[in-house]
Amino acid sequence: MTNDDLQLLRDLRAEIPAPDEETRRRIYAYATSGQANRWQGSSQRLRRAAPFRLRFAVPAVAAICAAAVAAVVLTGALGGSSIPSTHPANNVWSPLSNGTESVSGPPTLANPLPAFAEQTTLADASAELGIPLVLPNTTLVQPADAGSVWVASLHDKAGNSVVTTVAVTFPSRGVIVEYTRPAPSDGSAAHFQAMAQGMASPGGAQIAQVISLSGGVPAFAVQQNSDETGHNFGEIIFNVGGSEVRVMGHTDRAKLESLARSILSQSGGSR
Amino acid sequence: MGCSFEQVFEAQVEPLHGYVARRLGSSAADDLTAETFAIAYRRWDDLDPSRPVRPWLFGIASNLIRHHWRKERRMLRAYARTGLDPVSPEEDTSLDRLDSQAARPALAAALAELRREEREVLLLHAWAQLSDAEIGQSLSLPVGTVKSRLSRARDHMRNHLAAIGQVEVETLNTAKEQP
Repeated sequence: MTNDDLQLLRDLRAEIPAPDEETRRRIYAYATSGQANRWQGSSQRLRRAAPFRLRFAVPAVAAICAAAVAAVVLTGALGGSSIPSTHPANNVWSPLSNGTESVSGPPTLANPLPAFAEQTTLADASAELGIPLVLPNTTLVQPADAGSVWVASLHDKAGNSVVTTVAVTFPSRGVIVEYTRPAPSDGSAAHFQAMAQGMASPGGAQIAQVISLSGGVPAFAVQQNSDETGHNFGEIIFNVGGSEVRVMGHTDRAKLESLARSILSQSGGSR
Repeated sequence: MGCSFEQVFEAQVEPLHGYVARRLGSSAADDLTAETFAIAYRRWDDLDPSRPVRPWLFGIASNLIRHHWRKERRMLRAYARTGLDPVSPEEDTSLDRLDSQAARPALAAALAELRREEREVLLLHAWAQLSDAEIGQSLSLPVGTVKSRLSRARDHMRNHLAAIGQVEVETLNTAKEQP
């Protein structure tokens, strides 16, 4: 796309009018009314046309969860290593004080999933995911080290889970393990290779590469502290048993690989 | 950040609404802008005041827009097929913009065929005018990923326009040059 083409795109729909004063007032009134805390059961939706009504026809929570899960899934599926960080400077959005919600921003140990994920238990997360959660069991990280567990699910109209992401944190070890089911990609070496292409450090060096885990299972490895923030997590991403697993932490690749191999060997499955 | 919610609302409601409106139409923009600011208001006290709020707002909006991706694609395809934009209430028919208008359905077609995540990055860049770093903050992505998705999206658009849209543009430009 040339700059001219980009300008064409910038001109596209540029003539759409700004909201009028009445609409702005209604938006502000709604935003500050506290309605957002009650929209789960309401059927209110903002309408520009008179009479003014607050009527949310769309189940907002489902939409929000869908968006959150989509963010997770898309991140994993399309070369979007989340590359989270626990570095304070990269905590773009501070964790909520009540600890039960995460907000948009880079994943952290406190908030490993995008906004609107819910904190849960290992058992409930496993039930939601539909498979047993296989945790790493090595000298570095053991199941007993598991801390908070988060889940974000997308449901269809019938209430069936379409895609679920679970994040298990190991705070004392600085590690997060995420499971997404069904896996958003085929987890093939070709897919990971495509992901790795185009991901370069500010200096142009490759920051991600395709590696092979036990049994020749391909994986996507992101080097820690290699992106433009300089303090991203290292990551190992691979598929096993129809799920995508992401092992993340501020530790060297060999240790992350050992965690990935531990999960893989306990799972005993292929992609 | 250092601004009150009211100040941020005043500064951002128009660009945010405009961005959503360009993607989904004015009516949906009313709803999603209201939802975005409602979420922001509820979480206001939890924000890190040292960080910019604009990418955060667009991140919330992007999450909400994602739920409407089928609708967005449907409207883009309709625009490409009919030349009538379901989102835009009226077309600018001034002669000096005729050439760019001729390319719009082709642009819409190209946008419709983009992968969702690539379209999102491209439109945050082109319509919301966020920097790569701000897009990364909005979508919780590393800047490298933003750059690569943006590059892929622009490649796709260029190739699509080369195959379809530019033909019309060139034809019109040629016609304008004739006495």
